[in-house]
Amino acid sequence: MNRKKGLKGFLKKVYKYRTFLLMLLPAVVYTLIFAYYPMTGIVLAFKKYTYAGGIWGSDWNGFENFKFFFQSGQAGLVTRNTVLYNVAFIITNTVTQIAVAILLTEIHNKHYRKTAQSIMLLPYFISWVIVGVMTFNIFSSDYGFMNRLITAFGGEKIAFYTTPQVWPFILIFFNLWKGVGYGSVMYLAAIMGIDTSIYEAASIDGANVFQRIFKVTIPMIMPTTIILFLLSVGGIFKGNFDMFYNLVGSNGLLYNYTDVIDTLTFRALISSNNFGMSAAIGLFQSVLCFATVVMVNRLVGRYDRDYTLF
Amino acid sequence: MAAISDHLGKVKKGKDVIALNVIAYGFCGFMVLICLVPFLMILAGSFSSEAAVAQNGFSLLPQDFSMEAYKTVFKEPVVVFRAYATTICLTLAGTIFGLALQTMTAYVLARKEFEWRNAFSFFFYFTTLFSGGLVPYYLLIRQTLHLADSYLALLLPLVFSVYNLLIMKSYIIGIPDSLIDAAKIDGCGEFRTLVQVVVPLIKPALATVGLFIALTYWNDWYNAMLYIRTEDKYPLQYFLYQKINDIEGYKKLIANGTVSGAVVNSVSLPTQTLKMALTIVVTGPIILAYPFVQKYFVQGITIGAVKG
Amino acid sequence: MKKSMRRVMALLLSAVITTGMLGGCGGSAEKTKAPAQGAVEQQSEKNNGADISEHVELKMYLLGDRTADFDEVYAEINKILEEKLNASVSVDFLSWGEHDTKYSLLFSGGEDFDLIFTATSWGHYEQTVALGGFYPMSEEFIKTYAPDIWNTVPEIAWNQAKIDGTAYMVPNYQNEFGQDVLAVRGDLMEKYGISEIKNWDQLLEFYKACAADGMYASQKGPWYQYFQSQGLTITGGAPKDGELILYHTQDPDDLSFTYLLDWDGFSDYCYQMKELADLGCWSPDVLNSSEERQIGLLTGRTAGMIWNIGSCKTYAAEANAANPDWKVTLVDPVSGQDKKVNSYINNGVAINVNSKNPERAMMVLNEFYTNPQINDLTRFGIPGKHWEAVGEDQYKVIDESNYGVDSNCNWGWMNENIKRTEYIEDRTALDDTYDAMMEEWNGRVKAEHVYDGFNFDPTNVTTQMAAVEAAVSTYYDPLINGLVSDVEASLEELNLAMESAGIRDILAELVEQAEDYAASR
Repeated sequence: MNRKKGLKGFLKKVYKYRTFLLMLLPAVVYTLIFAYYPMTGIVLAFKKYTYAGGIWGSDWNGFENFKFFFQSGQAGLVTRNTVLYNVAFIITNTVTQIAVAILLTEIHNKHYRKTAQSIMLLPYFISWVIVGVMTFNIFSSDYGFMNRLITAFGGEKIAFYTTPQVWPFILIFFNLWKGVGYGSVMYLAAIMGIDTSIYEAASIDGANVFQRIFKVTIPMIMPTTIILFLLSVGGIFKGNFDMFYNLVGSNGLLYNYTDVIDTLTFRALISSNNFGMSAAIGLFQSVLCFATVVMVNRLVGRYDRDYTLF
Repeated sequence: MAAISDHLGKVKKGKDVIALNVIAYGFCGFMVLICLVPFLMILAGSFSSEAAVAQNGFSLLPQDFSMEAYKTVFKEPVVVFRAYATTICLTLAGTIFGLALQTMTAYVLARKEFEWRNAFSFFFYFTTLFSGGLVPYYLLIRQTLHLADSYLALLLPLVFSVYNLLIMKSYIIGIPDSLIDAAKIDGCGEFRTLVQVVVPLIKPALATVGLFIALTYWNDWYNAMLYIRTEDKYPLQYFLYQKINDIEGYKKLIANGTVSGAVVNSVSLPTQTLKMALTIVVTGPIILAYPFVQKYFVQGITIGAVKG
Repeated sequence: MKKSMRRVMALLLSAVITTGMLGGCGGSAEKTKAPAQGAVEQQSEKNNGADISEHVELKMYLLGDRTADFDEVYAEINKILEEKLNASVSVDFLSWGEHDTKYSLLFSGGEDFDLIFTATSWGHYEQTVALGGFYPMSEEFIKTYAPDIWNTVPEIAWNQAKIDGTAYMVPNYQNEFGQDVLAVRGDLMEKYGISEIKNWDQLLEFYKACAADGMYASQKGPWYQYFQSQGLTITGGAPKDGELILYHTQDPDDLSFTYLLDWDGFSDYCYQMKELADLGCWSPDVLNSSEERQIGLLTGRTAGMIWNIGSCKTYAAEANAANPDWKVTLVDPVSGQDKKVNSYINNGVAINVNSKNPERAMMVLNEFYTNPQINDLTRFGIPGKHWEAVGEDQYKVIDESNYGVDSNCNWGWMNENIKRTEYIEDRTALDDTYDAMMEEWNGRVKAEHVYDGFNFDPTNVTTQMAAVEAAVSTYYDPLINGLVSDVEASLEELNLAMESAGIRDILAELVEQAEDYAASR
């Protein structure tokens, strides 16, 4: 195939897809301007930024900006924590949100169903700052709700804020709690899109409700589940700073169990406000996320090409 | 929204159905409880006096009933209501534009006959992984596009979200090809197929993604912080977040201990109860509007009906 | 119904878009005031040969929030500035919650402004200098355009402001003492039979007595009081806000530095704190508590509060007003040492490197700093409305609600020489204690140590600095508050973490810079 033919073939396809391309145009232009153009700021990761030099005029300094992260001695720990937390979040969120969505659709009382759905959305509106205050109210040694409860039943106080082992559970719980209403809406929409005739066929075949859920509903919402899963995997090396920062704060005692890349970087750079170093860590996270998601996406592609992200 | 079993009227209430009902009511009831209780505490806290909250922490009933926090929020009622109006207009405009843009794009990406769909999906998805950080984006909005202090600086950054795009795509993929092909045979162009065949089929999806876009606009204060200077243009969340942020930022300063005595004495601290009142003020309208979204969660797409 | 709804939406939509566009246009087309020429042409000689024939509108950024009467006050100030310097100042605020983000964006975005508040560390001074955001102030420049400031600000303040030999801010000049005191419940001291708390041992005794009584003594471990009682102080610019590397400020002949983990005193302290924390001298939740410092004292949860003397007095008075039987008073737990004056770069003003009129900005700053009329306006507001003068050097508040004393980020041009003090009508025992303490402190200001003016410049060791900052808090904060389970092991872990993060490089660089600095003096 020579070049000319290739070009001709290409133009032919452009013509064939002209309506599709036209429909994509606004989004493509938008993405070029608002995402790809500012993406050039990534070069800051390799630069010694100064105000006068700006993004392009500042001097190059190789991989210097990445060094501090590894030299801190915490790189391995926080990277591991970040990934493990995200894995735990993905699993717990997906399972609970799907369960809530399915069970909600099985509830007959219309008012109960709607009210329940609204109420589950409430935590989404409570900022992490307030959640932080609330967890302190629950777990503090002096006035905490938990310890008041424990002592009321004659137990020994637990110093939650000096006991790091309990924090993964607390963090996973609050993450799940905050996202359950918001996340289950997506699965609910997917369930609503299922052709009801499939259910009818299933019930005629004598399937009970549980079989119906596992044989029909869950397979039918797979495309949505997998897309959401892949989207989460795309952020697997990025920690939810607001959550960790507001719940754990600057309590070094808990760091072995709670420190993630983003909180570590924040502590390291808060006093120097070094743009280059924060860009470097951002790039480090992005590259790892990218590699992971490409891999997982390929695995999903083996299962079904339509379920992939790209 | 209708329960699945409603559509299967003939099904007898067997043991399995009863078991499922027990699980459903029990589990959802538990979730409702843990979502509701904290919120009620915040509600009670917002009507409590600051001293009582500092002393006793959270509780389910207002302690030492006080409207002080709301008085602070609504100190300048005109400003608050203007902020509400700004946010509502922005949310409406953003949701309509955003939904149109994302549905159209997602439709193309979901069409199997479009060979380049994965390449374009990648083109969009890539931007969620890599970002250039705050500085270049800030310069883009302010210096390249000259949007500083304009409503467009609040509207444009959020109008297109790749997450929503891909979620939308996953819903559209679920539509059987036969329906779209049928429309094609009837001589429909792509636009008409999208509007007349696909859109009616994905109402729950539109409601969901629309809700997400609306929530994004509703909750946004960051763009306003960066680009808006005129107080008249403040959206609600920024107006409120400014108060919260001030407490947090200021506390950080004090915690540092390096601040001079003059600074420490100068700021009268806003309060915990204020934060809780702000949460209520922000959440209220959305919870009231939510049933309108739920209206679209109706099961019962019967392919046959569309075909016929 | 549906149709009309749709129409309303369309209307709203177009309204939003049009206003958006209008807003966009309005924002970019900033109006420039026509120069008010005329009366000023003759003045150029008075201003050290600087040409002020052209009117200039300067823009200044301050931290905090605009108070209700702020613009009214600054209109008054501008009247004076117009007349004297043919200039006016317009002020924008970066609020407390936002300045961390926005301060640097002002410089990244190349925004056009002239003056900006700054302060060491929390006020972004060092980091902005490192990125080249501030206008360098040569001695020549200061002398020419701000001769009165030059005559006012002591040399040590300029030295503190210097980074690599050049000053980039005008530091404020006020003798705030850099040592905290303890506001303490008089009734509890009586109950525990403690008559005075003047040194470290008495402080410990007090802490233990509180714990024995089931009271918290204070918010957290008294770390600063410990090293201050040993004659040490923090080193400007060193990691962890200077706490990791200390020097002997009370002994001007001792030019050595003390790195915490090379110092036995630090491990002694950690063991003592472990004992106190286990006894229950403060809450085990201290690292997570977002409670403000005064809450414990005010709500009666803690017997004392450690803070600077001004805040201690303010909140002690508040506690006494609500609970007269508490008899909260002030004590100095480090009374054996001479008093060190706080670093002058805790507040200051800098000029933007992109300013089109740095000379005029400096002249205006000169007025803010040394013109008593303007200085009073910025501190108290409008005389007769917000405050009134009592004699030559005192003030009395009339109405604080819409402006407030020292509340408008006027801290950058505090000037000890013309600073009024508050006139108090009904004196309490607390006021007397405070005044007596201040008088005593003023009478025993510490002899100058050469490092008091030294500020470490970490530019050459940024990697090590960031690594140290990232690793240190895991062990350091729990240690100084006695919360670790095994002090020895934690000290060892902290030591190893610091070594691998590169603390020795930082120490070497710091010692080198300090020696150069000492030699140049």
